[in-house]
Formats: sequence, structure tokens, C-alpha cells
Amino acid sequence: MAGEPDRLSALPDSLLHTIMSYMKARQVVQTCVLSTRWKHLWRSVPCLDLDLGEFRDDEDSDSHNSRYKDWEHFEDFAINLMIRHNIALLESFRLHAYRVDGHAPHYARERSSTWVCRAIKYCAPDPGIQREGSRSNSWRMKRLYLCNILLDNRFARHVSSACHSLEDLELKKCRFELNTITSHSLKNLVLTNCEFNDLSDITSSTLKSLVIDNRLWTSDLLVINAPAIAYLRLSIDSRDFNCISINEMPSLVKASIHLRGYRGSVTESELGHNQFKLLCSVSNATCLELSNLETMVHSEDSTTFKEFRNLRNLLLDKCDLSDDFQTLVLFLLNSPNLEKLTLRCCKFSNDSKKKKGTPKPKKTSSSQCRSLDVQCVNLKLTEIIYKDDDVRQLVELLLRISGNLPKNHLKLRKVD
Amino acid sequence: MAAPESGDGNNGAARMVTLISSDNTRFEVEAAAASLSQTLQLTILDGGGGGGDGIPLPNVDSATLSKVLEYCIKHAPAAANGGAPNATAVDRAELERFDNEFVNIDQSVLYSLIMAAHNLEIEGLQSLVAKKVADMIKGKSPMEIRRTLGFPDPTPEEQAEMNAHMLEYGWAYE
Repeated sequence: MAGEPDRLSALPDSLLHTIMSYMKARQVVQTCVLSTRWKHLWRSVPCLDLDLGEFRDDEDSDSHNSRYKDWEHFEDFAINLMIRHNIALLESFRLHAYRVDGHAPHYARERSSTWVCRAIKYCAPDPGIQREGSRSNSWRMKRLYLCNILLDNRFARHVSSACHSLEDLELKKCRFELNTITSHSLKNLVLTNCEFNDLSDITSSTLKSLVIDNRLWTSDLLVINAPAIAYLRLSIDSRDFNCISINEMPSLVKASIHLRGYRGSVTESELGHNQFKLLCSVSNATCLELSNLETMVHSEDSTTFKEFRNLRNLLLDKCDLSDDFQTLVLFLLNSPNLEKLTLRCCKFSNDSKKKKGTPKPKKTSSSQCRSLDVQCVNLKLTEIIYKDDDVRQLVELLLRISGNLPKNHLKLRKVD
Repeated sequence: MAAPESGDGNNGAARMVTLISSDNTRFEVEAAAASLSQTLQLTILDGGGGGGDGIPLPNVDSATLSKVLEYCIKHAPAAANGGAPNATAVDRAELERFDNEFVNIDQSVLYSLIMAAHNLEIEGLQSLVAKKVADMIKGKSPMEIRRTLGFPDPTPEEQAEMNAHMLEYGWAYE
């Protein structure tokens, strides 16, 4: 073996860079000692993944002490890395200033925000230098993933002046101290458990996919202006439904709305109303997945609900349909082109049987009357996946209107 | 599966193309599978590779090409689905299982494969192998990496250089 050059080092730089892009930053830098061939390779690697989790001193048993020590090593490394790496060649950057065990000092967010700003300011291609008449600078940075970082106006200024090619932005556990996210290049935006504070709008004409998965909601109202969105996923607490307002999304293809249980002090009728408004904003979707919705139909709703003209595929997952199926009927009435309906582990009946108002005799209940107006001529499959709830009433309802669902097949499946 | 030394494509349901390795072995595959290669896709769209012609691949030997095609044939149906938004969880799990086993091979074959994937522009295969090689490096010290990846033993000068480097890059080793 000795004397023969190794096969790995014989690969071209671009392939070695591809291999390095699957490694964390510290290990990438450590390859510099492998041989002369590897000495400078790391400096031009286009993807960097900088992770506090890579800096763990297991020997120090004092966890309070090691928190600061690990952070110090991480910070030393990050600063050295940003000075020595050719940041102008970066296409993808991941900064994870958080550890699963919560092992990051309280100043982690501010500090890491400062390095990123500095790296952009001093190391990115100079926006002042223009290339062949092109007005935008040529930084290739396409993907940015940040976890546990402070996003303030200074940060936003640097990003918007340098990152003209940014397509994917993922922010997790970040704290916003700015009002707006605006971008003319962004295609995918993911926000996970961020502190929104004053963030009041997201505006982008290019955004195709938006995912918001947030447990904490500290902003009063977040307005989304992104008309090109094709994919939307929201996963938020019930009480926060009125904190988000989404403007027209004519290109919407798939929307998935997941409501988390916590509703705080919001009353049932407010919740129904907010849910209703949010659902109206996704009325252009062809595929809709709704999870954990509460009942929401009130007398005025049925006339103001939007028509889901494009809807082909509707999944209701763990939704409350115990309002004598009024919510379900409302969807069917407004989805003339529906092809597939799936009801997974929904609640069909009210256990208590003590609903407010006088229970009407079954034969003339309002939803049963209105259900006769349902016209889903393209509905091919209704799949009901149920646990232990009684499906008899629902099946009866569907059978009664089967004349209006000429192509429908009914499939029942009991799960544990 | 790829059949070496087969003649021109008999007109079955799917269009077939012939690829010729550097050591002159002929492989007949479905055009859909070969089209996972961005490079080949263009030639195939222009009508190349059919009949008795075949597309010569002077940079890929037959052992590597047969492995590359094994990957392409397995992944072609999912790729035809446009990145597989319709693929079921079962299909995906099966592909994953295949991928894991597929790269469980000798290092020298891995390097030949990644070069071929690079030349033929088969992105999925390139990432798969790159990830495998990265996994072989992860969590190891420089000396362990050198040993695992079959680097020649360092000369005394190289060893001295490595040591000096370790000092210079103390910030990455602390």
C-alpha cells in the first residue's frame, strides 16, 4: 500500500467538495492535515455546516461549566473558520447555535448573529464590484439555515444587500427583532419555533413554499404577501389562528393545516371564526390536509364560505365532525370537483349527547337537508379510517346522498 | 437487467438504447433508465443510442457501468414520477434499503462509481456515494482516516508537515 497514491485523493476537487458537504465544519477543516493534496481544499468547500453539537467536552462533568467551555471552543472555531474560509464561494451555510440538551449560553443568539453579519460584510463578494454590467453582485449563496440566532435590522440589511441568490431559508428558534422579511429570490421558507415579536409581514413575489411550525407566537399579526406560493404548511396553536393573515395565493396546489391543541382563552366561537377565515384563504388548493380542526359552522358561515373550485383531494385528520356533520357537508357543498375524500380518526359523535339547544329529530336535521344539495360528481373514493367512534351515522348520510355522488366508492377501515 | 453483448433493441414496449463501455462491452437498457444521466438524456432525446449504433462511454469500464445501470434501473420508476411525490412510504423504504446495500461495497468501486456518476451527471448516485464516503471519514482522527481510506504511510517529512499543520490548526482540534 505504501508509496501508491490513494484513490480518494485522485478525485477532482469538485467531487471531494461534494463529499465534504456531507460533513460538519470541524471535521471538514480537520481534513487539511491528511496530505498536501488536502491542505487547502476545505477553504473552497461550497457548503459549511457549523454545529455547536460538534463541540462537546465529555470529560468535564460540571455541566454548567462545560456549557461555557464548549461555547468558547465553538466560537473560537467559528471565528477562525469565517476568516480563513473563502466565503465568497459559499453556496450553502448552516449555523446551528443550539444543542438538543439546551446547552447554549444565553448570549448565543447575539454572538452568532454578529459573526454572520461580519462574515457577510467583510468576506462576501463586494456588492460595489460589478461584473460585466450586471447590477447584482455575484454571491452564489443559495441556502441558509440558522438555528438560535438573533435576526435584527442589521442582519436583514446585510442579507438583503449581499444575498441576491438566496433560494432556501430555514430559521429555527430564531428571535426576530425586525418587522419584515422581504425577498425577490426566495423560493422556500421554513420557520420553526421562532420568536416573531414585531415581525408583521413576509413579502415575496418568488416564494413557492412556506412552512410555519410554531409553538410560541409572540406577534400580534403576521401578514403573508406571497402570491406565488404553491405549497403551504401551517402547524400552530389554536389560539394563534387569528395572528396570521394570508393574502391571495392563486397558484396554491397543496395546503396542510395542523392545529395544535392549546387554545388559551379563545372561545369556541372565536376559534371557529378564525379557522373559517384561514380556510377561506387556502380555497385555491387542489390538495388540502386539515388536522385537528374543531367544529366551526355557524349560521352565517354557510353563505360566506369560499368555493374550493380546484379541490381534488381532501384529508380530514382527527377533526371534530360531531356537529352533526355540518362542517363536512359545508366542505362537500363547496368542493364541486372533489375526487378523493379521506376521513382519518375523526370524531363523529358527541359523547355527552348533551349539546346545547334542542336536539332535533334525526330525520329533519339541517345538515341532512343541506346535504341533499351536495353535487360531487367526480368523487371516486371516500375512505373512512376510524378507531372506535361510531361510523354508522356518517355512512347513512353518504348513502342517502349517493345519488349525488355517482362515482363514489366507500371504503371503511378500522384501526387500533 | 443490463445484458452484455446484445444486438439492436427489439421493439418491446419501452424504447431501448445501447451503451458501450471503455472495454467495448455493449449494454442494452431502457431509455428511461439511461436518461437518469443528464449527459445521456440529451443524446437519447436526439434519437441516439438506438439501432445498432450504441453510445460509446470511453471513461467508464464495464464493471462500473454495470453497477451504474443497476442503480439507474432501480431508480428509473421513481424518477419518472417527477421526484416521486406519489411514491408510497413502502416504495421509498424499499429504495432506501436498496441504496444502503448498493454502497456497501469495496472502496475502489465507490471511487469509480462516483467518477462515473460525475461524468454522466447522475446526481442521485453522486450524492449517494459522496454521503457514504463522508460517513467513512466522520468521527475519525486524521491518522484513522488515512488508514481507513488507504492513504500511503506518511514519509517522515509528511509526518512533520502534518504535525506542524495540527499546531497551526489548533483551533479546529481543541
